[in-house]
Amino acid sequence: MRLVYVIVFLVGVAAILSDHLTSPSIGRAISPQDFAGACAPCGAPCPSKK
Amino acid sequence: MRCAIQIARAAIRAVGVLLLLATGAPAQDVARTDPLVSVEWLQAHLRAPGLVVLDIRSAIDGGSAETYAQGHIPGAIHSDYDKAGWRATRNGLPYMLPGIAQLEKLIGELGIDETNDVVVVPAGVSATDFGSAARTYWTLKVAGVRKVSILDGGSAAWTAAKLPLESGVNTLSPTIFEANLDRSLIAEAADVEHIIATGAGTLVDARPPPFFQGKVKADAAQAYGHIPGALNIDSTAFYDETINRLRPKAELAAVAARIPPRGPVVSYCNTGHWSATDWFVLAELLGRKDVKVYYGSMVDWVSVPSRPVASSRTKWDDIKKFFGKGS
Amino acid sequence: MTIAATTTLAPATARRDWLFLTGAVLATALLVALVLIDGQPASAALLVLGFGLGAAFLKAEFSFTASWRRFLVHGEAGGLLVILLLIALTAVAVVPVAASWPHYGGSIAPLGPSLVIGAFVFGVGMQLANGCGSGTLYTVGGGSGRMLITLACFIVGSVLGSMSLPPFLRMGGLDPVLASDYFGPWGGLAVTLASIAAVALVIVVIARRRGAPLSTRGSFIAGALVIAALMIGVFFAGGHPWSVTFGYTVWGGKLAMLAGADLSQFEFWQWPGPKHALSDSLLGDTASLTNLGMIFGAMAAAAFSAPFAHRPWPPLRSLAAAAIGGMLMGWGARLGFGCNIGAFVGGVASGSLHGWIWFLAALGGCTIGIKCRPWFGLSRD
Repeated sequence: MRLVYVIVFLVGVAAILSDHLTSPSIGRAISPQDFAGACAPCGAPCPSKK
Repeated sequence: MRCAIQIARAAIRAVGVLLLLATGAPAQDVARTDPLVSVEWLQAHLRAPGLVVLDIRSAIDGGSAETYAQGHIPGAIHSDYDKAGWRATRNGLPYMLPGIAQLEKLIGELGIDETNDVVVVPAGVSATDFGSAARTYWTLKVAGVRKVSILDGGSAAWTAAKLPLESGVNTLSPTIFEANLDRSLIAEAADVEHIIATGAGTLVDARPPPFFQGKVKADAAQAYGHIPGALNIDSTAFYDETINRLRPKAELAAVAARIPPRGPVVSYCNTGHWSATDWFVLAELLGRKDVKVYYGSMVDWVSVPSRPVASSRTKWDDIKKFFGKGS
Repeated sequence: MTIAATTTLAPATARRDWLFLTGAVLATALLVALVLIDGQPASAALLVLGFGLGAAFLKAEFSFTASWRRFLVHGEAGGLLVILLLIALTAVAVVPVAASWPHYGGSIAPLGPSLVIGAFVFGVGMQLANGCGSGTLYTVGGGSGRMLITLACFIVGSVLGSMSLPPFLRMGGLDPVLASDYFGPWGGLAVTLASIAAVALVIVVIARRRGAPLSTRGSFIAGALVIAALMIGVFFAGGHPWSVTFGYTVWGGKLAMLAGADLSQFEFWQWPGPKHALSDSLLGDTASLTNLGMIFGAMAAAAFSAPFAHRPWPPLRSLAAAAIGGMLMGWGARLGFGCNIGAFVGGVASGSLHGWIWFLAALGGCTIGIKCRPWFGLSRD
């Protein structure tokens, strides 16, 4: 069990890092307004609220 | 009084043409100058009435008013491309097209009006320096000066041809210049948004590939990358730095071949300097219709955070920059 | 056997598991550093708040699943009442601020078959898995191998749910009903608190009728107070109430893309929120940040006082329940617009009617799930 967790932990952290470091950047902070129209928290557009 | 001067000029020009024709000289009508002229052509037409040789050396090419004064093409006047006001800060954004009043003052104080033939003379030392000439050319055309040319090879070519240089400073008496803005050469952000939304047109990014990819950016720009959908046609690809001339027309056409043959083109870069070269090649040399310069370029485009930007930059690039190992 | 029980080792001296304690703290610190380099202090706050939530949930053994089951099977309402207290405390911040401040919003969802079916299926899954969205996080952080399986299946189910959501939404339904729309920020809060009180009253009546005790552990109440404070912090840092399951959906989406799937053909992944979340770093997604913080916080808290992940694997039947439960929760949460945290607590604390409908439908699902537990060797209470 412990070994499973060590592996999962390391793989998980590696995956997070690689996802983050390869993700696109335009060198400026992204604001929530960039996702205008999203209905928090699932991202689905609300039927009457846009 | 001004009218009388114009009539006198036209009369002298007519006499000049007759004399040229009479002497059997090549029929290069001053009234129809090519966008790009050679050193030989300029030597032959140096004293043509109405011709203004505009030396634009500035810090961008390592020159200045002093280098002009030390040696310049005979009869040339000088305007510092970087400092004289060819580009202005507007809405906090640097290097933009100046307002009409400022253009009229700048051009008029040089003694240029819409009847002159202006030959823009860059230093002739690099592709970027050629861009200064292209941007000056574009600005003059936008302001309504109809007849403009660039000296291929600039001052360096004149000197290399061992042609005589003059020292000192020439000026023309200031004139009242009324700008006649040619909007067909200007693109604004709305035009770019239209192209993105409809696909009706091509965006041409004139910057070197690292800017396009988002690896580096202009200091004044707030984001890295390019306008989505743009083609990267580096302005330096049009220029042969070994001889400091633009490439032959066939090669220019080959570089530009990636652009769809028909349809509007908007050329941009960081602040409309390099993009003026792309515009010059496409519109003035290759004869393409409907080419505009988005002079605001990336610095203007990314000043509004909601506008889309495409790039291949990653957060890893950001981390490298944070630790001083990148840009 | 339920995992609500803490370690049975319980010695007088704490036996710290330094490997996992430092690992969890370092991992969190690394992620905090990355988001700070990125110029996102709010994201750093979400990681740290998540870390606190993980520790709080673990130390308090704050299980929605067990509380609901105790109420449904025995009528013991103490846990459920404390959960309602948690919601009420959170509502005090969320309802007025979401209605008045720009850049802040509540958890809102339309009322239709998607909500009801999703919540019901979630309820079934929750009782098979022995944990809900948050429960999965803190038990995984706490070292449960069984819940690792639940988490994996939750992620898979989430992606399947993302494909089902648009067609289910097209079945129709009513627009969201938000208290502050009708009664203003403070009127909306009053109505929300009144609704919570009314439901609490009904629960008390049911409990009394079944002759069951109302009391609960002090640690559960203390946990609720700490969690409420942290949840309010998450709301202010993230701009919307704490959400868990969207994070799983994003993780699943990214894994699917890595495996070569083309998600762009699915409508869900064309919506602006999911589309950006898929292409951007997962450290740009608020739910992922709190989820990761929570796992590491629970891990640190667990490793602080006992050897980590020392329990043996439960029998295969139990693992099957974990897997099936996880899948049902993943799928159900996407249709139902969240889990206990996102839809129930988030929805009710936002003054959205969908929170109560979710609650009822999920309770219904729980009764079915509880009935199925013995098939997998799980106790009925």
